[in-house]
Amino acid sequence: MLYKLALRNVRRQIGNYLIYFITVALTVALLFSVNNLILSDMMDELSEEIADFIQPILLAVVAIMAAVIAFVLGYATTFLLRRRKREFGIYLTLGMTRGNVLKIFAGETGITFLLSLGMGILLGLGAYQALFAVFVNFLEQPYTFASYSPSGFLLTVLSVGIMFLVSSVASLSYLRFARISRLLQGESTAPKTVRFPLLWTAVFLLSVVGLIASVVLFMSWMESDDFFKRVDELGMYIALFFLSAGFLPVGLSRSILWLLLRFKGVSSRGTGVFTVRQLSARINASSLMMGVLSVLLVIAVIGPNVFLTFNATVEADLDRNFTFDIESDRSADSRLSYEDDLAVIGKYAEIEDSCIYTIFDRSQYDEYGDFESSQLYAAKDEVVKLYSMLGYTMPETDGEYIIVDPYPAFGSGEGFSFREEDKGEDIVIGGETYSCAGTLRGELRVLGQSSLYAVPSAAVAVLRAEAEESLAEKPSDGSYVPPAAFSVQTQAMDHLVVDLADGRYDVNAMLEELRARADSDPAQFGFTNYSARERERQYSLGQVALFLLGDLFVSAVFILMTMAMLALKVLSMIAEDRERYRMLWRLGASEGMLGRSLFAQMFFFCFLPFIAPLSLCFPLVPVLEFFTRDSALALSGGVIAGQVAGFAAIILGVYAVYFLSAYFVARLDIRRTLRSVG
Amino acid sequence: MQEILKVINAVKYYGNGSVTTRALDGVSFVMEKGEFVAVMGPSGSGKSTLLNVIATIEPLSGGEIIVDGASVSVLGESELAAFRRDKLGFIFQEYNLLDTLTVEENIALPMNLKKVSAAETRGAVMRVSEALDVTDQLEKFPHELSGGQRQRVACARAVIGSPALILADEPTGALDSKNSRVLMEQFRLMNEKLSASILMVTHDASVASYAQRVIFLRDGKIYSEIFRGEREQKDFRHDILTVTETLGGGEEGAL
Repeated sequence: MLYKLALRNVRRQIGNYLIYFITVALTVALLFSVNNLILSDMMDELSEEIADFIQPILLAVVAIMAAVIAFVLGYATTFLLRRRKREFGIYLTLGMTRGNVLKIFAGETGITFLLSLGMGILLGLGAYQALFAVFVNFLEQPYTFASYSPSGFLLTVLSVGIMFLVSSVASLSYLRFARISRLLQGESTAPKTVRFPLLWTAVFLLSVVGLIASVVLFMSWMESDDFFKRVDELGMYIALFFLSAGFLPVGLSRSILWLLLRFKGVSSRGTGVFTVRQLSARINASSLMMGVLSVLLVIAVIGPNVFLTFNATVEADLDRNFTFDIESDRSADSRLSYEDDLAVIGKYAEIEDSCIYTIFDRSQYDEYGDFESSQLYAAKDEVVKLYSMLGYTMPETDGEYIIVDPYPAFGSGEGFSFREEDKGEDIVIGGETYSCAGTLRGELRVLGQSSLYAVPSAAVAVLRAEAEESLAEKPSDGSYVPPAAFSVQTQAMDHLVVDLADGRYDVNAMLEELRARADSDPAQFGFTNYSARERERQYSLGQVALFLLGDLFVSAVFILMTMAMLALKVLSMIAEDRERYRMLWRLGASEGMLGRSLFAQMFFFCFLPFIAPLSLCFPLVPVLEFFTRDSALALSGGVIAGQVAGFAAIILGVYAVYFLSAYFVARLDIRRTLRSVG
Repeated sequence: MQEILKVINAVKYYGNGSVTTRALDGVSFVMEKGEFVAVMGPSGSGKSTLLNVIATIEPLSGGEIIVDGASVSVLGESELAAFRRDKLGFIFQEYNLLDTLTVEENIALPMNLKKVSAAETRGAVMRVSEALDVTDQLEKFPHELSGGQRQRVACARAVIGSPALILADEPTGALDSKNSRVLMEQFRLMNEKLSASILMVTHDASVASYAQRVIFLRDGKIYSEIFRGEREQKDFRHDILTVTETLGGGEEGAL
């Protein structure tokens, strides 16, 4: 009998349960898709090092979010309960035991929860594919149908089940201990005026100042050279920021409402005073909730925008850090040849251009065998080739050496130039004197940060011979032999850079094969380093994608929970306001007037926690611009503003769905109340 | 005299098909401007239904109601709201003051709904609050007032817009005898000094004796009607009690 009553109640209370149903279904869909993605095979394939590091973090985030959802749903369920407390009071008055009433309510929420779970899983099946498609697209990998993870499904059902049990505790304990008279009381009767209005105005102004100050201080902190040493200051700025964001809606609403009530000319027409008084009473009673929701929404707005901005700079940073698609260096005693490596690379990707070059580090020692000076050398034709791969053609300088400055001002974006007027002194290599033709300036990271002499092939032959001699003098057991007086020691390091026709290829397999070859190097101390732009790109994007996934998940949960709480809270409030609307209607307020008053109250109440986060979008643009300033891709304010506005639009879209659903349910409720006047 | 209310063969039934209840069964009467009329009758006689259909809170099933020369039966939803706002004043047993508004805001509500300017509203509030002795309570909220004070505030709200007709539904129902007497004196004052036309539903003969005429309902029909004329109030009360006894209601005068 109780089950039938619960089932019938769910059918009758469909409007009340709508918000609850939407929230649980969306939450389940979200959890299902995220759990599946975290536990998918693709995550393991992405990169062992990333997955091993981030997978537990993401699972922990999911667990924390599940706890947050359970808490919020528990809170939300009590709104549902308060909305119908008079009905439950009547059940008790009629002789039902509390156990029976508990069973009815638990049955109702249980049925709704099961329906939402089913709907959520169905939505989740599609949402997971969409999320997977977005994720692989983000990593620039081809989309294939993503198989569902049984453990992802089980984890979702388990966490949702626990969420339901936890969320039921709060509401059921309220029902278990509430006095019948309190349940029957239906509406609250203690209106509250805005107390200490000047204080709240000051709180609002201080919140605004606090927000601006925390942003300015944060930016100046970022600009300072020693910001890593001043992490404690960052904590203070963040605390100031969130405190201000929490107090802003409370201070703002109380100041505005006080002003509207004080200067009644503004709100005295129609139902204005009623609307303002209602809001004043409601907001006074919900200040803490408003502050907390405001902070949650601030986190929800900032997080994804920061990660999306970082993501946009990843590719550009790669361009800066990787001048070529593949870069390698190898000690001169290696027995391997780069020509063979090129053959391996060619199996995986079409080679557009390549350059094998050697850098000689020539050190001179004084009469005591102490280090005196050192200079880097490279073959001029190889340096010319390297710069030509970057699109710069060196002027002809036969028979002379040139000074190469590969690090003029890192990140300055300065172009390539050759200055004949910047000449160095003559140098002597192997008894031959070479005059300087000028200085070539141009950022070329693979040549290091020190200036280098690009010398003709005759000098290179001398340097190579010196390097071979130095190598030969090295003891075979690797022990250290001090340099002799007035000796010259030259070390050679071979390098390879490769430009590929297509940057997307199976980089992991290629590196595996190259490293296997390097490991087989018969030279005792030989080593080879490889770095590939594509590998780094995948790693960076994978890392950003996983953090972004976690962050978006947190944001989505915060936004959904905020809206669910606001919508259910406002609906429970409207249930208490029915009698007030009926009075107004009797006094001659038209349904249109009541609808407008209801809309204004609900809109303002629900929008209040969004004021701080949405206002923060404005300073967020310059802050994000500032973040990218040191990046290779300094994003323009317009691009960042577009991204921030897009995210704000999504939040407003979710707000609109919940707000309109709640508004129409509330309006229907009020109309039904007016119609039922007997 | 000008007719302020004309009820012509008013019929109201609830339910449908074979299960219908006739709450009003062909009620007809006329009220003059400035008249104070009480409606009495036993439970289920149709008193409150009569008040509700006049107030346009419930639609008539048949017949017609004309208030201040206009038939309310033909009005649409928004016109009905305007009609209630402009032509009627309400006083209820449970005061029906909005607990979130101050006394001043409650009294000003009908003016606000009419979108009267703030200055004019303020003047009207002061005028009626002085007449009903609630000037000292204007800044308070309803829950800070006694029952009698709340009902006087409800009276002030009912008269502030100078409505054509004030409808009172058991206005003393929640008051003790002293406060009931004070309130009825206020009604008399409103009727005599402010020329308010009052239609009041009550089950209390002593309260009804303040009216100039009492209409008795039984089973949805007018059973009887008596006028006070030049009689003393106590004599009128005696006559009212006599009729209620024949009606079978048996309510005692409580004042």
